[in-house]
Amino acid sequence: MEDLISAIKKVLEQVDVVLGWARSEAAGVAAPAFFHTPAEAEGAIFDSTCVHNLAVHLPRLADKKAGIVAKGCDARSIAQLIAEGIIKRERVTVIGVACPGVIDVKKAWRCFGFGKRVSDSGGQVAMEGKTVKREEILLRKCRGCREAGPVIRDVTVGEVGKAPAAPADPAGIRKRFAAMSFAERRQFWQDQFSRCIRCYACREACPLCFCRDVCTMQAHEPGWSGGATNSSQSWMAQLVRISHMAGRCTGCEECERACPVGIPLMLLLEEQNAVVEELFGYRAGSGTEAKTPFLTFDVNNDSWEQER
Amino acid sequence: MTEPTTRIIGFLCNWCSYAGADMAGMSRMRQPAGVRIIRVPCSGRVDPLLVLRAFQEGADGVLVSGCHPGDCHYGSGNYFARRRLELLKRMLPALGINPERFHYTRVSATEGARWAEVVSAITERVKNANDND
Amino acid sequence: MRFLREENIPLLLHRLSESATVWAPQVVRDTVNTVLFSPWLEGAEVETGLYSMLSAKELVLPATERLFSYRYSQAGGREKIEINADAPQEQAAIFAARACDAKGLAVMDALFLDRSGASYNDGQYRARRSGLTVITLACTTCDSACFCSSFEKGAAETAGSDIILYPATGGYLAEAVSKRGEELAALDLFRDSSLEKPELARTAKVELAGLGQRLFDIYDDLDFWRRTAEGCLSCGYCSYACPACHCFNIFDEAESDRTGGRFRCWDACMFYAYTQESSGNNPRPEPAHRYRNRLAHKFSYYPLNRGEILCTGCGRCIRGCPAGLDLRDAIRAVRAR
Repeated sequence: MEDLISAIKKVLEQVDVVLGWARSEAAGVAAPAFFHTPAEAEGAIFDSTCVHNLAVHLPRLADKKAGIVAKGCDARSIAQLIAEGIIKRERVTVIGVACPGVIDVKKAWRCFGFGKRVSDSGGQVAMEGKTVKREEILLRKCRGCREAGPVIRDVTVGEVGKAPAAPADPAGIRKRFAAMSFAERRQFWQDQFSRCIRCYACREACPLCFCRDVCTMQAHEPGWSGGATNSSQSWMAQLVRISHMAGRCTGCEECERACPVGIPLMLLLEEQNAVVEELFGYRAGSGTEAKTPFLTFDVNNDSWEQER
Repeated sequence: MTEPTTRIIGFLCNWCSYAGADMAGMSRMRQPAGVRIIRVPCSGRVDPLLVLRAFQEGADGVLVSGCHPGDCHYGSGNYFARRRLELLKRMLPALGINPERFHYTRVSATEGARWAEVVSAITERVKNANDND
Repeated sequence: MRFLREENIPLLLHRLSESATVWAPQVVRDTVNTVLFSPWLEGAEVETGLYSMLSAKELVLPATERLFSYRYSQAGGREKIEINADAPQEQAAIFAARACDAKGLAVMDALFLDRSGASYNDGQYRARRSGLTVITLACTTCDSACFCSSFEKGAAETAGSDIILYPATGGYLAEAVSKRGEELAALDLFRDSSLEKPELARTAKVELAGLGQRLFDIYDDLDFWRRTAEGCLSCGYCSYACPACHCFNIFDEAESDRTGGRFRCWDACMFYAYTQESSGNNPRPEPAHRYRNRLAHKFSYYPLNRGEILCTGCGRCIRGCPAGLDLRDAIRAVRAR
């Protein structure tokens, strides 16, 4: 932690604010924190409860110089934001951290109770005498992690370059989904979106959703998704968001984490990301110079019709 | 007993496919009656969401047809469309829609006969697409 | 006092479900621990260990409800409009609501069912509310997001409930707090008991005295609000989960060229569009303005106008905030300013 705190203090000499994490007394786990002064930076932490993708705050800080503590997956979002010209490279200082994988905080709370201080050492997550294997409550995205380290970083804390882990499907939902017929899948989504309350946490937690206050999900003209909260309208609203994420989603899983009613949004985004990678060999957030595949075309090689 | 009509929504670009379909009609070529045509300025205008909305509203199939490569009135609209529509087609299974229900193709203004063929073939495929697979 | 044995719970739910839709907290399938109040079906497991992500308010103020439907028709060469505005008929019961959920209903009753005639008496709300039985499960434990002890009665609050179940050995002590509750307690599933009520949970506290005035004093200190709301993502979760937030929007939606309806749906002051004016101007353009409004409405203007705080200390906005914000931190910051 000392390394991180001193890195933040150093970066603070050149920027207005550093985005990082501090321990939330109520939740017992990390909460996003904005460090404006070296004194505030004393509270900085980095551990496996630092799940939030802080890049979501960068577009709102576009008129300031900002520093940001970033895990591998967060750095992809930052790179994508820069590639799309939403933020400027010279205005952001990235403090890359070595990430051991983050835990599914909801699962931890199920094991330990909300607000219990969680400590994580040597592969064991512990709280007040109870322990579980870290592996068991790791966030799903971490199991298929492909980041050897943050793709973009100015300062590095810790030893980055961990071997990526194998993907997994803890709730078994992917396996079940894959076995469904088209009609069953339609029913599956109908059921899932019947819970949607349109709080738009998925959109607001997404670092790449940049329309923010003027989103078409909420617009009455054109009325893509209406105002009445019913399953098919909410489904359409989500399809608006998903289709706008094509070639842009970095897979940080924040939308799914933010969803209060537990809709498995990543099932769709993972599928879309896989298709984009298969078609165009492109992964969003791979670099700051990359161009999303839907802003360009290839006259000679874009022909898939022949495959059918 | 008459078979229920297979309802297909066709998004046709103004400059090629719409004129091609018109040509087929004027030449009195035989073609399935279930295609409802929506004229758009360019296949590049077809937001994948329009296709999904058509399915949501109960279309059996959706067809997008634009100009042949190199023929786009606006230069490159059909190239952009091609990428988006291919992604859409591959996403459909995850959304619970049989990808056989969605097709995109190109038909030029002079290809009335081709239009009639395309529509017949696609109607047949949509008719045979089973959502319980 | 009456006593309900643990094994009689499914029988009670079954009995209730004969005449009403029974809502109970249940873990949503395919999710890790997402608990929601949802219609209970025979044999389903009720989750009482974890708190639900949303409050019970959707039973009286649904996320979307139809106020009326219309249909155009042709009759004798003239256009006719038929309007159907029947009040909802459904009977519902909620099982294992918490004292904070029930109090939320009482707070909303005061607003929607104003008997003084000073404000609107809402027909839709009244119909749903009068068909609702509230069975509250008293809290003997709490988590660190709970802060109902900041209010006068804390976990012992009875407002809004019909009957309260207190956990006891082998079952629950039942205390009826309304006429409907007495009818329930008279069922043969309950028996008389002389047991004492258990000690209820004592949660974390946050000092609320004088907060209303304080919020007025620092209302214009925008720098303060920008710092306080710095991490806010401007989503609507806190408002939608809150048992006391009740803002809504009303709009008409056509379903075909001849049919449609007027709908009422939840709205949240955390959204930019909430205060967007048709001129293009928005008096609350930044998250800071909106956060300030949410806090001040709950703890300042509403209590000053109607004598009641729009918060019951349920802690949902703390547990579920995607950005990890804590309402209590904001309250403390306001007091310290």
